[in-house]
Amino acid sequence: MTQIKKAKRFLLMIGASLISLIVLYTIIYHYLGNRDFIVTNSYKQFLLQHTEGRRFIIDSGSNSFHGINTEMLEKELGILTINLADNAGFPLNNKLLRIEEYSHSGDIVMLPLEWFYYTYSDVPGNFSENILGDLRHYYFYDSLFDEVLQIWSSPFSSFRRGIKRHRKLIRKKNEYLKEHIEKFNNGERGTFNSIEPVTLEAEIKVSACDPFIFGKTLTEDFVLSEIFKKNVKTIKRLQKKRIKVFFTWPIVVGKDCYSKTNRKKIDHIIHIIKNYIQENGLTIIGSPYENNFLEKDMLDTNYHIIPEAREQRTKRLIMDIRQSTVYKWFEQNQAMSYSLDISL
Amino acid sequence: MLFNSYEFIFFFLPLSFFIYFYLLKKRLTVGAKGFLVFASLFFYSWWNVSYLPIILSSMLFNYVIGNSLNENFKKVLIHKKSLLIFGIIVNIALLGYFKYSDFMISNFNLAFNGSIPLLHLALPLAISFFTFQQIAYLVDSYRGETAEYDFLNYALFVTFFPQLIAGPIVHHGEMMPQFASKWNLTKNYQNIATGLFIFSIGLFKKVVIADTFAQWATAGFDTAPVLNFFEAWATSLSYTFQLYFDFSGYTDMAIGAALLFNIKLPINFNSPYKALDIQDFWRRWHITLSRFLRDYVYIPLGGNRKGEFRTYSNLFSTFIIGGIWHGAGWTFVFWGFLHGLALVIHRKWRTMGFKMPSILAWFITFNFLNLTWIFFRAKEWDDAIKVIQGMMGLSGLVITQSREQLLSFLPSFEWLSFGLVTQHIGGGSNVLNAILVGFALCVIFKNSVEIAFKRQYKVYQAVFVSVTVLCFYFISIEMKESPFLYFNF
Repeated sequence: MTQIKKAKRFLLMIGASLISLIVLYTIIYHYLGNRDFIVTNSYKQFLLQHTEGRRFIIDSGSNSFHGINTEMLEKELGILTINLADNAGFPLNNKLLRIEEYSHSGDIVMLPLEWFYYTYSDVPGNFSENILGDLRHYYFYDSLFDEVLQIWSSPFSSFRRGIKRHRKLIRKKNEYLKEHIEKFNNGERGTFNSIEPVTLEAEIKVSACDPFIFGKTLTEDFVLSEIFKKNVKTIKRLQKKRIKVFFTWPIVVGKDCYSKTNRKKIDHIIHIIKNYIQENGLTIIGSPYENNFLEKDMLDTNYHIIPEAREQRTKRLIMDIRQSTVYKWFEQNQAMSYSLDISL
Repeated sequence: MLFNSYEFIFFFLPLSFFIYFYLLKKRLTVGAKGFLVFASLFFYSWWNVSYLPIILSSMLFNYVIGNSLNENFKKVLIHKKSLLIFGIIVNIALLGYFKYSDFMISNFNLAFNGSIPLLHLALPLAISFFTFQQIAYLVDSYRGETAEYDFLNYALFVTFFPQLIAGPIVHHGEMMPQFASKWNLTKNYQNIATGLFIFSIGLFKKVVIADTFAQWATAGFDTAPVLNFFEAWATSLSYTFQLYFDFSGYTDMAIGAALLFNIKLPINFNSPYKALDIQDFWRRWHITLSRFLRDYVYIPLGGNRKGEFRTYSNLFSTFIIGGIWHGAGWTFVFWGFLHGLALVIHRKWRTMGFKMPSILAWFITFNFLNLTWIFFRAKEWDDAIKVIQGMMGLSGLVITQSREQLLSFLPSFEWLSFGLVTQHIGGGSNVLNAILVGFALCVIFKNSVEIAFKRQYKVYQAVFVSVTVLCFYFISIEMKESPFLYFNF
């Protein structure tokens, strides 16, 4: 073979190997993110995936993790209640797609969304980094195109984590399963229950409450993000599958939250959000101002309250639910199920 | 624009390649060359468009002076030597103004207790490189060694983007004939294949190897308050390898990119860390700079033709100029001085007929280089002293906690402690592993040019190119681009 032919063949080999590597990587990534797994170390995922019957599902960022006594809700409303709330940095779309995947007909979903969810546009870096790791249960996309786009915009470290985690899941699945079943039988439903002492987040020390919770969106020109509007479409799709969804407001805590000087702007924001939700045939219950706690109730950020305030907030939430139109969903005459579809 | 940037790899380089050969296919040779000059100036301006007038006026000035000096040019109005001196002074003045003004002012202020404010001028990109290239052109024009070049080819010689920013420092004699050759006006698949391969080796050296070492070198030199014995050695060795992989990686990318356009740039590195003596090192490291210093500084000073003492002083002068060319600072001067001194000692040693085993010669040479790079890298004298103190064990020795029990028989010393060995530079055991890999790549394996120019076109080489592209892709979405070290010089 002449040198020119060899060179041409070499160029073809580069093209072929590059395409092969891209395809191979995409397939392995997809495989690692595949939802066909039985148990993860996430207890919240376990609750969503393996509890039977109708459930009351709470999802949002950490304000509901800290701010809602799930067990109290379950007792008062007479329905198995699971709290999936974790981090407001994780995209709502992935949260909704996960619920769609594992929900049962008749499930009720409450979204006490942080203000950020109405306006954000970027997926945080640590979400992409951990999408095959600790956040594998969020590996859901609207389409194959979206998935491929996400795969190729995620750092390679996410892939490495995925491989590591995949091996760990296989090795430790029984251990996790045992742990989760025990927690479920003990009545744990995903409420924050750590008693470790915490210190104020650095950001809180330098930022006032309103700038912390609203960021740069506290303006008279407030607009809902396109991402939120897309999420509303997903919610409407969930409703068609007989999953009932409603919104409520987040808790905020600290000095000068919803301050008088900002009240006009906040009212304007509330008005826009409420209108949009209602225009789309959805419900939002309560008022943001009733979920505003004083500085003495703050745990470590303007979205996290101490356990005593949590009880107070949950009681108010129960009252709001009972007084709203969504209460009829809870009254449907079905036996409450406390069972799991998996055992050791 | 950086070679290791998205814009360059996925847009600028492929677009320039296709447009250039499209114009050539349409027999628009002048248009194609004009396009390449335009593309090169665009590449240059990407960084900061305000530097563009500087390179353009320098190019025009030197072309006019060079043509006036050329013996083929009959109507010489001024005495040729005066014209050459004028040309060189203007070039040096331009370089001196931008690069050395603040250095001189601060030294003046220090020496005479003055208070002249510093100018804080931004150094125009590549000024050290294109100034040296054009001084060589002027000198050769004076010597009658240049042909009557047309302006387009000259402009291409100065601005050709693969070598524009950080070399290799090309000589008009090796570039002009290539730009003028009609054989280089058609696509050459061998050159494309070899060019892509060597470009990807360079890219791999930069984004995977050099940038890995960079984090430990930067931490050790710039942020660590103190360095224990292992940290100090890890810091200096990390920089030694970073510099080599960074600069030789850049050169490989330049050679590869130029080859796509059928232009062969001179080799700039030939496994320098395999050198067995300091002279050997300078024949392997930044070869085109050594060549320039030899032909346009050392030999004009008299070289070795004027007795032993003058030879030694010429060596010193050449290397001090080499040191200061790299940067305006006394640490660079000292680095040049140390290399000049080493060359004098080596020359004396050789003339006395002494010999030593190769392994010992390599060991001494490598350690000398590793030591002198400390001065080259250090921003301040204190940084250099910190690293050297650490390497000498004067800042203590830390041994990993897991060995504490094993070494419990040792009496307790103030300078010995157990804990995290690399706590000030990070990296843990990866540092040692990377240094071992660095040694293996530099000392045992063939270098990139040796591998690429064999033109074997093996499957694994094609896979390597693809893997490098993917590595680059992933690294660039995780990290910011890091500029090449020689951009500073």
